[in-house]
Amino acid sequence: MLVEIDSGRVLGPLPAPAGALPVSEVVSAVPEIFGAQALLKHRLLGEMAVLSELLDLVLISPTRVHVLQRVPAEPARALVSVAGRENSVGWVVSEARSRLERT
Amino acid sequence: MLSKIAVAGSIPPSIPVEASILNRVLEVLERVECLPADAVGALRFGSDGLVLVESRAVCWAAAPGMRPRLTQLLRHEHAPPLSKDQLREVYRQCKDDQIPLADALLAVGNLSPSALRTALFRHTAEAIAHLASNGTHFGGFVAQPSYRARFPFSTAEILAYLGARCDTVLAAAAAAELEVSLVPETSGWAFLRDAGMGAPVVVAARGGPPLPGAEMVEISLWVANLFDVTGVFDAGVHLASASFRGLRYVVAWRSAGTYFAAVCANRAGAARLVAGLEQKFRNAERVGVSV
Repeated sequence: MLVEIDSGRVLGPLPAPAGALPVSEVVSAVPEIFGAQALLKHRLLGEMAVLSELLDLVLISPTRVHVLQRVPAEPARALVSVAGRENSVGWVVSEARSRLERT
Repeated sequence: MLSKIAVAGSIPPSIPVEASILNRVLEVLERVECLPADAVGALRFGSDGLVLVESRAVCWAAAPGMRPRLTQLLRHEHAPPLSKDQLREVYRQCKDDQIPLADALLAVGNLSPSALRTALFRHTAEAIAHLASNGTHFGGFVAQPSYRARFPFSTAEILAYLGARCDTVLAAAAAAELEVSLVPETSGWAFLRDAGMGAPVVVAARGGPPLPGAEMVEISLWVANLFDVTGVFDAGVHLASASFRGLRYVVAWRSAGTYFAAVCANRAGAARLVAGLEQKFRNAERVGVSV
């Protein structure tokens, strides 16, 4: 699902690949996940933050693999994917990257 | 906050265990890390405190009132323990023959290089803690010729050693996990979210190149925030892999209540680290062990 990073607004679902899980819960956390470093920058009182702009993030739990990727040509947007853990993490990430390239 | 003393057989530290001094320790270590990469010399604190630095590594540190401490540590590490007279003789030889103390101690016989390193490291780390605890006034940097130190210490391992005082058993387990998990060209550490300091406390550090202490703390804050946020939609998230603009790759995981973070040299290294950790978590799930 394509999401506006700052607001978490869904910009439009993409055709879901087989085995995909709902992403709405993850979508709600996108602004905070991608904006977390901004909080740290403020804490550094204007100094350059150690961690700059987040490009992509893979989150793994016993049941799911979540992949969040900033769209290279549109850095204000992110592609969010969720898949079951029965798939290999490598495959899930590879599929997510393929979808990003097609976005 | 409860503190757990090291296992029997080791001598207690000469410093308080409270995590509250770690903020000031970070400030002292930052003075080391901010020096030019090729700087060699002494950071002076008050009239008797000093931290000898070469290439942003700490070669030695001393604080007021610590004069008998190295003797105590060396005697403890030596097998059998050196007598005070024997040690006094070693010091005299060093002074007369103008040879480094480390070389003289190793020549005595029953002190292994690792034991000597342990004694020198503990003294150095405790001295830095004393300087931080006392709030001794910083007196500037004095350039000096190369120390050619046999055992330079990174600021990361000093920070982790002092942080580990919060829970030495947990810290030892975390260090063991880092030893088996990290891949080459990766700097990793374990931290407690809040050991009474209001900020992450680094308790173990392995790999390299070592990161500055303040960076380790900042990345730890990011990791802690991340796991808080992911708890909203998937409380089981235990492993994360992130890439940042500027070719920075961070892998984070949590295991048995301890948090870990690692900075990898490249995406391939991060992928290898994740694969290894993923296998560990899967194995644990298979045997029904909670991680």
